[in-house]
Amino acid sequence: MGATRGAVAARVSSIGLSKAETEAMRTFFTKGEIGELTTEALLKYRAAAVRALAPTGGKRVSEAGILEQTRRIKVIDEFLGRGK
Amino acid sequence: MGERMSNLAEQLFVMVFQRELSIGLGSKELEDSIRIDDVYFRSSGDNHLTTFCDRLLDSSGRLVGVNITPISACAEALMRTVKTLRYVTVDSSAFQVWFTEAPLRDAENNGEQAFGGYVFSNDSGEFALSIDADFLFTSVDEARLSVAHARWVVISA
Repeated sequence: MGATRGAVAARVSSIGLSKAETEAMRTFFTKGEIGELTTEALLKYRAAAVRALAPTGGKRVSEAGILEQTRRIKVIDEFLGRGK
Repeated sequence: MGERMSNLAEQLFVMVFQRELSIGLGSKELEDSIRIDDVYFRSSGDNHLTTFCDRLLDSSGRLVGVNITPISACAEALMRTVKTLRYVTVDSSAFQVWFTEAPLRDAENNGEQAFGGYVFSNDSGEFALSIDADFLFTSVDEARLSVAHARWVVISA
């Protein structure tokens, strides 16, 4: 169990976005403007979203948060699929 | 209270996880160190994406709390620390902070999520979490926050 917790901690520690990157991510999702966002930042956000959706035995209060997170993953995938 | 809630768009919303929930608003210009009343809190790093934070609404559509999904090590530590507080409920992947007198069973997560915020701690091991208020709360929420079941604190640099 301790090793599992350590592995999780190590994984989440690697997901780091600066304040500027996080605010740019908001603009990307709300306005579709990529600005100075890098592919690396998009992939970091995607990894965080996937982790938040991972089945862990718990459940969210409703499905709405899951749907929004899934939408954001799709937006990133579609953007990266078009080639940046 | 109304004056304090004005200009929400330019503010950070801060929750302080003490025996009773404390909340406050501070300038968005505040970075990785803040003063809550007269106590300094510091963040553990420059990661601004520490949690996904969603609004929780009651059956009338009124703000009653927030659902917080940790996505950083410091936020995981926060969840482990606050899970026994009476205004917090926890499942294995997220926790809920309630602005009501007691947790609600029928709250809805509306899926609107904040972008960014820091996890802070002080020398006594208390935690605080900031959220960019304009990313999450609507103007309608302002009145609800002003009557939240929480103590208001002063947030400054």
